[in-house]
Amino acid sequence: MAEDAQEALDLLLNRLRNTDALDIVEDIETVIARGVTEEDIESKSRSKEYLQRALDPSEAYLLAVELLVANIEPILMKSQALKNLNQAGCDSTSIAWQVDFVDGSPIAPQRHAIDIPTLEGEALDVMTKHLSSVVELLGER
Amino acid sequence: MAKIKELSDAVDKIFSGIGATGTLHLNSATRERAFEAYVFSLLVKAVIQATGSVIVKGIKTGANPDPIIFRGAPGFMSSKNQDFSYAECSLNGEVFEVHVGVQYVGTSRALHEVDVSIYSHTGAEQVRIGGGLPGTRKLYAAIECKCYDSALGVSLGRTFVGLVSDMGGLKIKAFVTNGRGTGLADYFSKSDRPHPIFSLSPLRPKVADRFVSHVEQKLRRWCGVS
Repeated sequence: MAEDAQEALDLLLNRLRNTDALDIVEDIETVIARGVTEEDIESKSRSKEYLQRALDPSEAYLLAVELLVANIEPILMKSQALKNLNQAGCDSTSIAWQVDFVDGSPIAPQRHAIDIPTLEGEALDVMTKHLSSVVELLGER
Repeated sequence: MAKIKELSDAVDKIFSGIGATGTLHLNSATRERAFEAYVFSLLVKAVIQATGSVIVKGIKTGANPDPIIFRGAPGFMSSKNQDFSYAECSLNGEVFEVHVGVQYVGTSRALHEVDVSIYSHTGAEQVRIGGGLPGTRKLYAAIECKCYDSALGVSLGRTFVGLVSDMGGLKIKAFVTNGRGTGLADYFSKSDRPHPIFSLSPLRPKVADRFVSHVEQKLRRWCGVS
């Protein structure tokens, strides 16, 4: 269990690497590296001036967790959508996305196939509960 | 601010469930599509709650398509290139359809992509038979969906207001997002602007219930349900 923010961040990134979510790791590291822009309140200039500063470990960890949630949330959206439609009487077992064609050519480039996992039953309830706990702890930011 | 240890423990529990999800990384277009599907399902829920009936149909296979196929990019209501799905709904004698990612011709003749829309069933049948693009005369609802992981800007609101102004007389117009944006909330506070719903997500069931109730009330009023 991580006791401080840097340790928690390192643990989170390692766990993401172990699940092969390297794109998320890159996103997190990029956003953290950019730091944050704040107004320079000590500036004597009439117009607003801004400074860029690095994130402290707590800020970096909270940001990383927010990005983790943002990446998992769509799985819950798709899964809940299917659940809602089943409850409305639709017997379908899955949701998929496909691109339309005009004269044999796709109407939009498909650089990445839209492939979102689906959670059902207890797995959906459990993941929703865990993510909701995290969102509650993150609070309104 | 949450203690780091409490948050870290909560994150641990997420990872214990991640094995069931398979791949974790989703690009932004995928997130938008997932959000639209979720909003579509909430509209279906609102129709049921208003005492209506719903049948999900594929344009090629009919009732209960499996899988339910949504458009990966905005397209044509009449297209049978894929088995695109929609919800055929009936409420107090009014028959209409809920669609995702369909293009409409606005009153200015400009082409608009509406994330989630409600259209007349009769009108949709005519479009499916005759081809062409649906106009806005029989368009009853336009819902703009934005799935974000950062703060939202007012420009998004202005773009949707512009779209809605070209859509004729809508019964339901809403801007929904899983994000937050104080500036956007202020922008939509004027009475003639689309209804905004922020923080819409399966992680916030009370917000989802509020959105469903909002749509339900609009449907009841439009279809004359007491």
